[in-house]
Amino acid sequence: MSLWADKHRPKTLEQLDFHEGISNRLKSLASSGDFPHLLVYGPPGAGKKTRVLATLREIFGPGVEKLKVDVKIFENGSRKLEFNVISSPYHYEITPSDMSGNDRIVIQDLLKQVAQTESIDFTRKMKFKVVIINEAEYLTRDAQAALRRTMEKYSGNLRLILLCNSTSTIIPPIKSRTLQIRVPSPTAPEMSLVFNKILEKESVTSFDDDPSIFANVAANSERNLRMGIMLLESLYMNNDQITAKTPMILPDWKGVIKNLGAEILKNRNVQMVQSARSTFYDLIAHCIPSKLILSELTWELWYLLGNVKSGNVDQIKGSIVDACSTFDERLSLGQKDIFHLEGFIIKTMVILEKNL
Amino acid sequence: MFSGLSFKDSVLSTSKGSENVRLSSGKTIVLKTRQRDRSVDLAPCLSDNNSMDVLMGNLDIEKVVQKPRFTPKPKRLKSDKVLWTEKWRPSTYLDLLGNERINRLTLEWLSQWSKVVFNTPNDMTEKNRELGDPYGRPHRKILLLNGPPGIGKTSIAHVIAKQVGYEVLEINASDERAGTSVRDKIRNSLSSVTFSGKPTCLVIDEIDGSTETGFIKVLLEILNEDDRAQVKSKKKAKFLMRPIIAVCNDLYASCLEKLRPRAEIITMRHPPRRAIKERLRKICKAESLAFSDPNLEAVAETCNFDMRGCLNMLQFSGGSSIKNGGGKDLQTSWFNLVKTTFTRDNSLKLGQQFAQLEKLLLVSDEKVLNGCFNAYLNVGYQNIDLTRCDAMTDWLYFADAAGNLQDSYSSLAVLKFYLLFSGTSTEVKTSNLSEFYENRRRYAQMLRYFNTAVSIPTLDLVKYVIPFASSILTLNLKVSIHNMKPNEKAKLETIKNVMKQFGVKVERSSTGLELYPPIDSLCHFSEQSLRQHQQKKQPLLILLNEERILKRKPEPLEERPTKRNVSADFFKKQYGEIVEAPIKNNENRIWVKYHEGFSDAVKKNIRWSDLF
Repeated sequence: MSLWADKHRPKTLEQLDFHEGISNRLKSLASSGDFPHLLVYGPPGAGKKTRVLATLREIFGPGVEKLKVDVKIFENGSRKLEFNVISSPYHYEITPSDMSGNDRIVIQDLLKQVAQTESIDFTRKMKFKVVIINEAEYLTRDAQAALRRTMEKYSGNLRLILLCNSTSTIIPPIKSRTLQIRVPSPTAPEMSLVFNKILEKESVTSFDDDPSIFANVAANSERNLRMGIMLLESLYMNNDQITAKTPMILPDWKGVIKNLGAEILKNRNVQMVQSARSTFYDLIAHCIPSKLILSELTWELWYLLGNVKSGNVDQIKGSIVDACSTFDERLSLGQKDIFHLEGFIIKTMVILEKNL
Repeated sequence: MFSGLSFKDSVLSTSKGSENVRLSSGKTIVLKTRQRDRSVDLAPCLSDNNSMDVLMGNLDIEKVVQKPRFTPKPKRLKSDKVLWTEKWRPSTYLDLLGNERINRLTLEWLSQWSKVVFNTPNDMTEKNRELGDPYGRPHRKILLLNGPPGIGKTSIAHVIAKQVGYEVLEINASDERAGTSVRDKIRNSLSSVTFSGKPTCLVIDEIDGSTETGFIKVLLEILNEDDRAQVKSKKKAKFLMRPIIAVCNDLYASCLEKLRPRAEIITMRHPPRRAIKERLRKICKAESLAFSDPNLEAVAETCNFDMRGCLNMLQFSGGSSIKNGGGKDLQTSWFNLVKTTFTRDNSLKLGQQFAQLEKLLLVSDEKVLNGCFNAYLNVGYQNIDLTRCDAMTDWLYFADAAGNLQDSYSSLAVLKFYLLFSGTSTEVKTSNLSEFYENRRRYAQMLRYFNTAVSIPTLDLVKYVIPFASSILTLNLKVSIHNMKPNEKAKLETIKNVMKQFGVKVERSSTGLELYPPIDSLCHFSEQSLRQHQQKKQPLLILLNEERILKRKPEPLEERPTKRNVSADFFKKQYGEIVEAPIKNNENRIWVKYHEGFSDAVKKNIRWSDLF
């Protein structure tokens, strides 16, 4: 735990820096000693997990921090599936999206296992165990259906906390069984506050006293706090003195997509499609999810089109976003990502060719 | 002599008149075939390369033309029964195909052992001494060869070991090697001399089998003993005196986790295409097989440049013992199907060829679709405009979605390829994607490794955590470890902690110092930025490496207390010291408790007479 983002992660509800309203609500929730199933959602890096863990600590005490990682093996027919489960004496933490498609079995097996073993420690205040499900939006429909009944049946000794970025893929029965809490992204000033605190604690002096640095970091990290802190740290490590002019560090894959966007606007022909294809292959090989590539590319095009002086730019933008959503759906339904990424490029080129 | 009998059947069924073809959109197209005399119709089809049987047919013809028929002698029959993969296995260093550099690296590693094994001086010792091995052995005692199947990993190990003068002892997956029952076997092999008087070289094939943890434990034990033996000057020190070469496909298999950092890793790649073709041609000549160059290329292509696969295919589709070789093998012909798709045959009407193609594609699989997708941008005979590509994207989506339901639907997209992109003279090139798959597998494995190390969701890992972590692990300073500013020291400390958290270590590789697993290659795309980044890291890595060596360096031997002269005197002296020492209040006082009773621990000599 040596990255700043981990080191300075708030442990208790008191230490949390922003969204006081949510923190207070969680505090009162924790003080009652019991809570319903929770569905915590919000953009990445807004502090969902931090808040949940802080709440658990408030309820169970510092024992929640004694984490260990187990590899559990589930059997699906003849196949054996390995799966990482992080656990403490009071809670389990799972990321079913790692299992792509087999998550139903994990959900069923693990939750039943947890729910059916009642705690024999009578000195403990709470009878229930908590299971945190990360990235709940990637749970398949089957898995969510499996969750429904479990949530009611074993509510005596099991509490679920679902964490997700958006609730659109969560089925309504689950939504109705949970208390929904939205954690929005921190604003730029809130992020600067956190940055300042960290730099003070680390007694780092190499940052100029210029608020625009922090604003810049916040903007470059999509108001994702973890990303922001990591960016801050890598700035610190790479520069002796950071001024407002210090260039931001950009992940390489973003640079690649930026270049691609610019090229698409410049040349529109089959050769370009070919070179785009090899770029896509490269990105996919580096495990960048196709949907991320698609959305990033769309944003890039959106941004670049803002500089173009033409009467019907708005119309072009509209149809590109339209194409993006079409191909995003295709990416979800199909399996050959490269087909659809290339399809999007071709569609975009045709749109640009017609209207520009 | 034509082997295209099945094809004749397919033409028969279409020539009944008209046929309804139903497209995915629900539209029905009526395809009318011209009524024609069958025998006339057949000839042009076969004369062109548009049937997947034709390749095999041609092959038969060429064989007949070029090779005089003769009755095989009994002796020849015997040699025929040898698998070609065995028969043509390289036997000397010069026979080895593939990357010269890799071959030489392997040879270099093995010849470093010569100092210990054969007692010959070698010039590599300087580098090794610096790395902490005083006996002139290579720094890492195990060689781990890895790479895709059929590129000659086992061959290279055998050939080079023989070349240097070892007797090869192979342990492969067919031998019993689960658990530790193999321990003695390995130990014996590492110290014994064979009948021929040559020292042994242990070659462990297929080490990445999933159940070999016990086996790897034995190997690690040997390595650990060796390490200990270097530090202590015990009489019974167990040095590892013989080279061990391990061969595996999957370098990142979980059971190899512990062995990996201790082994010298050499990754083998496919030999260059030209070399493969050259070798195939030579073999064909020697086996008196007539294959034309394009056919050989097709063979190599279908086998994905797997040498062993190529040889197997050659033997069983062309060997003299099999008459109707291969016949209608789907795998051999997907490339030709792609070719057919993009070739417009002028002697047939569009609809006619369409019908033919549809018949052919009925048995097609995903490979054809992928091949078409791979090739359609490269079809260079005409300027394909974007609108056609645009029309294709929807079909590709349909094929992708339908691929989940039923295979036969996906062939419709291939037909669309034909309608949109086929031309009279085409040169179909498909790019080789094996590198892409290889990379993807490698990076995914690395990602899984980091995921278990830091337990952050994979999406966040690739999106920003690893890129930033990679850039955090740089430090631009040019001083040595002793004169650093305090804040630089703090930075270095952070770097060390981050590396520990991610499970990254500094390793010496062939090109210099490197981080392992190679976290940089996961987040850097172009060669250029990767190299820039790595160069920037070199001072840091040197620094970390220095520190590591400092830590590892064994203490000088003289300073260790020798246990030789330890005797009763030693304890007596100690006792004396304790007795003589002034006893402080309640400190260092020895309490002895005495329990009254009896004990069996009295020895007495007994004679037989006492007992009877």
